[in-house]
Amino acid sequence: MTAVRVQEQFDAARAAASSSRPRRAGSATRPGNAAGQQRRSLERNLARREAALRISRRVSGPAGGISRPAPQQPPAQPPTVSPEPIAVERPGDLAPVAAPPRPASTPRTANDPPAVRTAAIPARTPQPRGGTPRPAARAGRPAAARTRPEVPVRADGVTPRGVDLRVPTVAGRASAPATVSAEAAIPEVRQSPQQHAPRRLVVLTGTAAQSERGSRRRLSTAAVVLSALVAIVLTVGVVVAAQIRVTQMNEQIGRDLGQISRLQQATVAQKERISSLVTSARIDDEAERQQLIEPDPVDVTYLETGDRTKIAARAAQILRSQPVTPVGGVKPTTPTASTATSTASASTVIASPTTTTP
Amino acid sequence: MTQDRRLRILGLVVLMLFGAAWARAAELTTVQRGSLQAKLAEGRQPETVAAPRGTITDRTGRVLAISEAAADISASPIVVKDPVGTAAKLAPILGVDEAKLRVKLSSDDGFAWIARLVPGDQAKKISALRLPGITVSPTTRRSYPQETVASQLIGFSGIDGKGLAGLELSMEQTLRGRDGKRLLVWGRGGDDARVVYVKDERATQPGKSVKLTIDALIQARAEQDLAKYGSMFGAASGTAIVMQPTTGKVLAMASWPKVDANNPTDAPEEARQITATGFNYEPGSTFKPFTVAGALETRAITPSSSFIVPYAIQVADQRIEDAEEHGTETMTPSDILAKSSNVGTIQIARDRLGATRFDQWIRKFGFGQPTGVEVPGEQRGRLLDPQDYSGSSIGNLPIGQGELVTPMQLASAYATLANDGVREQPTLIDEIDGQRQPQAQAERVVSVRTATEIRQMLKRVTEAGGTGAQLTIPGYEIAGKTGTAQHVDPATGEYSHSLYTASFIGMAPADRPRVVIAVVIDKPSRGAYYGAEVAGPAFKDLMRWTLNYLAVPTDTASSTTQRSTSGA
Repeated sequence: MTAVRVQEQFDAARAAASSSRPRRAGSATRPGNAAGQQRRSLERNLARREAALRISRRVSGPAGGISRPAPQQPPAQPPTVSPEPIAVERPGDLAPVAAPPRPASTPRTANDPPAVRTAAIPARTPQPRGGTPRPAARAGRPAAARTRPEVPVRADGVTPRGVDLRVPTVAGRASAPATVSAEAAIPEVRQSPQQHAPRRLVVLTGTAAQSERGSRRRLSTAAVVLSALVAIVLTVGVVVAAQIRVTQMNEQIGRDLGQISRLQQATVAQKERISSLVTSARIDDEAERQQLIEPDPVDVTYLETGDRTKIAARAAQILRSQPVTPVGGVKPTTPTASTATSTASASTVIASPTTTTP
Repeated sequence: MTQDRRLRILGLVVLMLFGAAWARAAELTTVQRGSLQAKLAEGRQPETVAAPRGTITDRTGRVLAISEAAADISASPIVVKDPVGTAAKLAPILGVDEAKLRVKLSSDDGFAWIARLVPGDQAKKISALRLPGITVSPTTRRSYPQETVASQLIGFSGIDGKGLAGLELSMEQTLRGRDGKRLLVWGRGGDDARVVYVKDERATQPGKSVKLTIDALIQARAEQDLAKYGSMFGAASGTAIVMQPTTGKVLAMASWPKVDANNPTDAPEEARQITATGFNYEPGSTFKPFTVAGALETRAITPSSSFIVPYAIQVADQRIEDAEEHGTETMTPSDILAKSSNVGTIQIARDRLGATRFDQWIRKFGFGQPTGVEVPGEQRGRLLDPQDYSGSSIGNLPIGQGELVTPMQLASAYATLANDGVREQPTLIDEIDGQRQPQAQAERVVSVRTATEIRQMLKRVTEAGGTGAQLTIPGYEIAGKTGTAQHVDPATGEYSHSLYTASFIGMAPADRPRVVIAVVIDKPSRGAYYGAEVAGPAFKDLMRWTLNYLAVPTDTASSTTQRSTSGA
């Protein structure tokens, strides 16, 4: 089976699916068991067509001769309608949709420009039941192998969310025609009764695709420039704020340095004052004023190495019993022989002067 | 409005704001550049951060010398535009005569000192006035809170912060720091000035603190006793040294007359001298123990050796007599020291020890060389070389005449005897910046037996019949030696009969000495001049107080403790 035949059958299936499309919410009814049978038959057909497509590619050779991107245009000759609609079950709540009937068409050759088809697209990359995932498109394939669906327009003008605009690229050999690969990669999407109108897959090739992307880039550039400006302004703002903070910190450092200097001066002054207060002369004068006595070491008899709990009391008792003598004075009870004026004792303690006879 | 249009409008607004900021920045950096730089230059102030000199404390942490912030105020009179107003502002702060200050500021000189070492708070007030032509140079001022305590030992520093005498001079490298540099930028002028920028261009390095072995209370007590007895006997000067023999640490090094360290130039120059290390004198009888120790150590004599001691002895062309006339007596070395017999000492040195070994032993005790204590200008004394001995030298030198020693050398030598014959290096420095200083290597001079025998002999000096019998302290046994040395009369070149140096050097408790004290009073002039009479009382008062202060157990308490521990 040639690629053209496959295409015709696809269109026919699609037409059938659209004719049996249920109405919108409220009045839509499920086809029931007949729909399930139709769905299963569509899947079988799709699998057979994929197999056929792979065989035809091996026979036809590389498809690299198709280098000229085809303009977006309706099919030159509508293909024949396949008795069995091509449909792919969409996981979820999609009802099987019969492929629309396609008019008969002349066989296409490999040199013909690829036709532009619009087809409903699945929300997700569909996986054929029981089939293997299609590998990614190889390099060098024409742009038509990558299709970008047309964003469906709902009645309320809102772009449906979650629309997966990706289209599975066609796997296969380079010799296969692009249209065949595009069509084979585009499964029929069944819609549930609650779904909106099917999104139209717009296969863009060549300059058309580029021009579409170019208009989106201009919009992105403005946003990028604006973002850059905002970033610069924010950065400058942060830098200025940091400088202000550094200035504040420097000001605080200056105040702290002054405070440190004042505290150091105060500390030095306190140390000087403490040192002058603990001079021996001042302590002696104060002790004399308070009539404190300084006992001889031999009079210190209230210290014991054992019990130290009552030392203070014993010391006070002993000291109170002794006559009060000012500090530095001579205790009347202690014989003093150290005064230089007591010459009576000096005769016995005369130091031996060194005398020499020259 | 479409999203694209919203983005464009927003971008336009941002661009306008950005443009406004750039325009302002451009204005500040171009139009107002000159005025802003002028303000910056006006507010920029490089500052020297004076490094404080290290603090000197005693062993208990009492501050003896400390640096406080100060400033030198100078002026460039030719720059001063309003000398009248400037003088009016400065005079009340500095407490100087306004008229004189006005005259100084009105001159055509380029530089003039207004005030030196102004206290820090006054300097800050002057600095805040920001008077043109007036410069405030930060510096530090040295303060001595204890005033006269250890003033000669501490010394003093000059107006530029350099040490000029005492420990301030010998420890200059340790005490001196390094000034730092700082840049200050002021936000506003006048009284509302505030610093908006600070940058340390060079860190300030303060001087190191020095902790001495000196105890300020013992030092003060020593100075007090010196002042009392020096004034009492009309002496020219005096010194007292208190040492720990087991460590070599000097607890006090007092000099008299007193000097106020905050005003050192008010005292005469000789009063500012450290007498303990700078005073050379003939030691007299205080030198005899070392003659006997040398003979004991070489076993030339024993403690029980017997000598026939007459009243006088002829040595070459000299006749040498004892201080007190007596008949020929049989004396042991202990008797010779207790009675301070010149003849007996000469017999030991000449007949048993010999000139060469005598010279070796006295040098071994440290005489003839500096002790190494950390003060500037320590004298080494003078010892005659044996080759230069005359016939009568062996009759003079052993009894402390003919050689020159310092009080510090004598104290160190007696500390050696107190420390069982081991000489510890005398030291004044305990810690530097909290780091304990390593102790110098100790040296054994004589054996433990010799040192113990000498101490036993010196105990008899303060017992009945000794030359220092009145120098007793209840509870303690004192071992010491009196000394009375004659000065050489410069007019005649002979020994004077009126100029003496009285000294007493002792240790307590005698069996295990904890303290050695040397008191030397020079040229007493009011009747008494003997060591026991003049220096002895000062020694006794100081030793009694120091033993009490250090809580040294009495000899009776020590023996009780020993009995109780041995019996336990």
